[in-house]
Amino acid sequence: MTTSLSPAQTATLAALFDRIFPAGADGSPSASEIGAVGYVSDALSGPYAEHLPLYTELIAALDLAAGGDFAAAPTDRQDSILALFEANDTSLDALPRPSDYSAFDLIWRHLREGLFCDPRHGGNRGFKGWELIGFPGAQPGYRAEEQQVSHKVARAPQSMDSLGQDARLESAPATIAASEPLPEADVVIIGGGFVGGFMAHRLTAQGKRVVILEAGDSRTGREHAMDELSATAFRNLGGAKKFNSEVPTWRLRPGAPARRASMSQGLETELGGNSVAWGAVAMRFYEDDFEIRSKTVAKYGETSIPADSTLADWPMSYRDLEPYYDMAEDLLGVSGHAGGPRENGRTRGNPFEAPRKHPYPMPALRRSGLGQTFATAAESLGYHPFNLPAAILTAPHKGRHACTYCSFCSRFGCHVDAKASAQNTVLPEALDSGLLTILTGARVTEIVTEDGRAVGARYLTSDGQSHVQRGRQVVLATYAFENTRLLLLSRDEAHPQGLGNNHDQVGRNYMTRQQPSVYAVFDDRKLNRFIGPTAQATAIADLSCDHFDHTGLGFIRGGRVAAFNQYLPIEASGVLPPDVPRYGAAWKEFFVASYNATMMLFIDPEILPSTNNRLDLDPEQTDALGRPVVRITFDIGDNEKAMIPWLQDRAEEIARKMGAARIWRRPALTGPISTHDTGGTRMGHDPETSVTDGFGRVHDTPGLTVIGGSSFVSLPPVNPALTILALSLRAADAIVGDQVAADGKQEEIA
Amino acid sequence: MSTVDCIVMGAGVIGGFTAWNLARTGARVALVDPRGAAGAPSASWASAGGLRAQGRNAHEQPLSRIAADLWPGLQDALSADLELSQGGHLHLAETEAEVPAIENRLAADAAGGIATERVDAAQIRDIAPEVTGSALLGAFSPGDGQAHPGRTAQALARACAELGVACHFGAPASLLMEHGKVTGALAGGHALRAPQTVLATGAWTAELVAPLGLALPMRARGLQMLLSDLALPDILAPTVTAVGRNLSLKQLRSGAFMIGGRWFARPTGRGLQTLPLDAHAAAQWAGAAAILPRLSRHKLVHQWAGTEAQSIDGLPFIGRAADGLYLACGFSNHGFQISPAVGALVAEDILTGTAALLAPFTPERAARIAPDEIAAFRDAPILATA
Repeated sequence: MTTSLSPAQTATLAALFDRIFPAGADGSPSASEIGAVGYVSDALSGPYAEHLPLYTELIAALDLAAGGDFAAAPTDRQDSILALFEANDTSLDALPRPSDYSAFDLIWRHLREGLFCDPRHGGNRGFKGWELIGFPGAQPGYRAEEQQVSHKVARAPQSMDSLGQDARLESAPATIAASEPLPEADVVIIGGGFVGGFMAHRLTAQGKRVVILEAGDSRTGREHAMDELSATAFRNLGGAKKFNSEVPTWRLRPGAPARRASMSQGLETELGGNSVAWGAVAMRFYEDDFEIRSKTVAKYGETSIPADSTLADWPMSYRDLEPYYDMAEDLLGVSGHAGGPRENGRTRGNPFEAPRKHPYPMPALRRSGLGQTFATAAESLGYHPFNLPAAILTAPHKGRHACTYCSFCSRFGCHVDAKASAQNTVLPEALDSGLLTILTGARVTEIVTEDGRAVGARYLTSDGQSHVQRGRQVVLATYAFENTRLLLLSRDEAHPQGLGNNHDQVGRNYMTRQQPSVYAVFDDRKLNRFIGPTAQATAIADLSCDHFDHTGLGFIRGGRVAAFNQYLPIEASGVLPPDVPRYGAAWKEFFVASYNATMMLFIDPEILPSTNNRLDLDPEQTDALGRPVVRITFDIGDNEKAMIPWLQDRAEEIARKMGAARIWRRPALTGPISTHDTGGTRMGHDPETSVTDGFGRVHDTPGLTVIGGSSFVSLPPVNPALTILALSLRAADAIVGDQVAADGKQEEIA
Repeated sequence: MSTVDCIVMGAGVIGGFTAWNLARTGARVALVDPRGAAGAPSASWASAGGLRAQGRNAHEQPLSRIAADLWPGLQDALSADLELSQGGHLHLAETEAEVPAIENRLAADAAGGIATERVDAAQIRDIAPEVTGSALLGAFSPGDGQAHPGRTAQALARACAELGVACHFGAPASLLMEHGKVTGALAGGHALRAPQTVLATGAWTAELVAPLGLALPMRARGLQMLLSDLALPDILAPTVTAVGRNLSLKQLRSGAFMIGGRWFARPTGRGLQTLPLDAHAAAQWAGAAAILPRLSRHKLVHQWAGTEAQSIDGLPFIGRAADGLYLACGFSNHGFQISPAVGALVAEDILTGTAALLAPFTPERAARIAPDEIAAFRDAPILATA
């Protein structure tokens, strides 16, 4: 068995790569000169060994199509074969055809990694890839003037290996590798992510003994810092083991075949969960989001609610949740300008923001040059731009370092802990209480009940042993998919269809964010959008919710439009207008010229809950343990189909006003991407139409709380994290209250 | 149970260099630290990382000279980036009254064989163009500089592990005492035994030796550090101190300025943890801005405090303190530069029974200090008053 490519195979690969990314007439380097061929061939005998058979087949197919030796064929012959290969054309009959993607998709991604990764990984030799496009790589941060539009960023490209280590940071939280269970805890929490950490913090502060069961390993929270390749390919490099084995399937509607979903962003199934990789936009819901159905009906009538929609009010008001928003913002260290009506000299902040009793803990992130360009255009169109609030520090806070405006934020651990994670906020204090124990490598397979009441969680350890950790209250605090799946897979006599599912509600009302962005390229300016955190964004909420009159529009609700930062070359080189091919001089020239001139107006449309959309157990696909994976049934409804193009039109108008030369848009339906997945264990007052109450207590299973994105009733055009955390803190208080009440009753009896 | 030739407790720079030097001779060594290499809130975690041979106590000068020779080769020896730079150290006088302090330092350094030069106002501008124009006279030691203590300690722990040192990190640890003598250490419930146990445990030492009835004339003090936002790199090459100010100032590789000095932080009551005091931070920053005016246009982005062991005479305690127990602690905020020499000499002392250069640091001198003097030293206030 071969473990790497032969010299002849390497020659074919080099010829292919150099046609996809050719040398320029101006002497600019080709793919092989940048080191992409060396990178891929090394990876094929290392982390990408599983792809070696595909490459071997592909190379054979290309050689065959070229009459024996692709590398020796004339370039026009090579190019015509390449065109067929890119189109996955059936006339190339020896071409490997994986089921979930085309062979070109895969090698194109690998090629881009080899062109633009940090040189420590073997590609982008001598920074040739980065120099070509003007990307400075891993810099400790940037000064404000460097973020101005068309400012020439004069920095020599640098590898993350040459960075100084300025920030003094804590080490990874102390955890224990799971084996035998601990004595019964007051609360056992399934999942050591953001929700689990926040609940543990709130519970231990009130004297509760807490055990967290975390399937993954411990980590510092600074993983993948400054490294685009490892952050975006971690799933291919041995990361996300648990999630990779249980990636959900997806179909558009009942009856259709379900295929493995791409889940392009992956899920971080290790300590801290997605709090390490999140983008850190920390925005509250609007006041009327909690009364979405009744307010819509009151204004537009019952008939305005789409027929297939299960739109409902939340079982709480904004005022109920407000104190927990305050608490969550303080724990995270949220930066932002308080909003409210633009009157009495107030010129910044979100004018639609729900009333708040306290200012943000610190001032907003600065506005980038691109953000200012967006704001100026938006204002001239009558909108009210504002800086998004973010869980990213702008001043020192509880031992953490303020943001340095480096290039790597969403999907990256923060190199200075300016971006909040569970590790740098709640976990150290919760552990310091002496009341929290985190067991790692504890893969929960089932919630255990006795007489219909949840009493603990069964977990597998790495040696295959199965144990039960008991707790007076069991909290299910994982991602929306696993929250749903664990309920459905935990059954007893009182719950034959799964816990919480006696009214067939578990998995229903699933919602996921669509990302129908509008892209724009400028001819006359450099945007320097590779500087600054993703959340250093300028947005408008004028088109969100019911902030504008919908009469005659044919849809309800709306979306947020924002100019986000962060534009990193491996991913950016895959962002093309429809008329630019994925190969050849046309691709290379487009990308080299427009890398620093491409803007994305990100649209977060509100997705209504619908009878079509739900999560259930896939009847065929199983994970590594032989348990069914989640099956997603999701499509956008008529409301979204009318609303999203309308929002894209408005965004295009802003882009034109900004001076964009070329504009294109993504489709309205972009599918599940494993961020903003919500619903599935909906909160509500009525057990017939919801799974839990407003405190996450499962209607039909005493002793069990479920909290997370899965709790959502609706999905406003706002990032869900802050609301998830506020719900978690409120649920923790309810558990404390319940236990105090139960203890009081015990005393009365005694 | 495991038995080794020597146990080193404390995986900061002192413990790391000691363990590394022992292991390089082939000795079997265990390195024990509940927080791992340079864990918070230790001195090695927090320290500003100045490498200053200039202006030291005469007893430390020989160690300082040995260390100055070792530092330039350490990145290669440890195969690690220690953020080492040698931009020199500059000590400034801003008034006529401060000039004698500079002259005295120059004389003392010359006597101890430390290469420190007298620099006038024009030379100061050449060395550090943005430093205040009111500097009259300076002492400049071009061989000095800076390195990253945390990275150094981590590199040492890695190098130790490669040499077969058993690193016991992450679990609670204490001294193992049997039949009235120290026979090793307990780490995470495991008994480790060795003829010698070295305590390179800084402010944590007091707690460890308390069961032996040992009370060293030391105190724990949190020292706070400030960090500015990014400036263009290479604005300030030397590390800077001033006769009339409680200040140390340097620019890091990133372009950020780090501001230290002896500004005490507030104890939290949670172990040795301390937190920066805002009142001190304001004065600390103002002092730095007086020396480097551009700081008045910069922002504070990070602050932290680590806990140092300060000895009553400002000199460390190095040597045998009881049967089986060897101390290397109390470096009093200036142990980093000499740490490679200390590690080499302690290893030599343990292996051969003698290291003459360490004689002035014997723990036995503690017995000569009056108890009320020690009490006053320990009770000195944390808060600086104007």
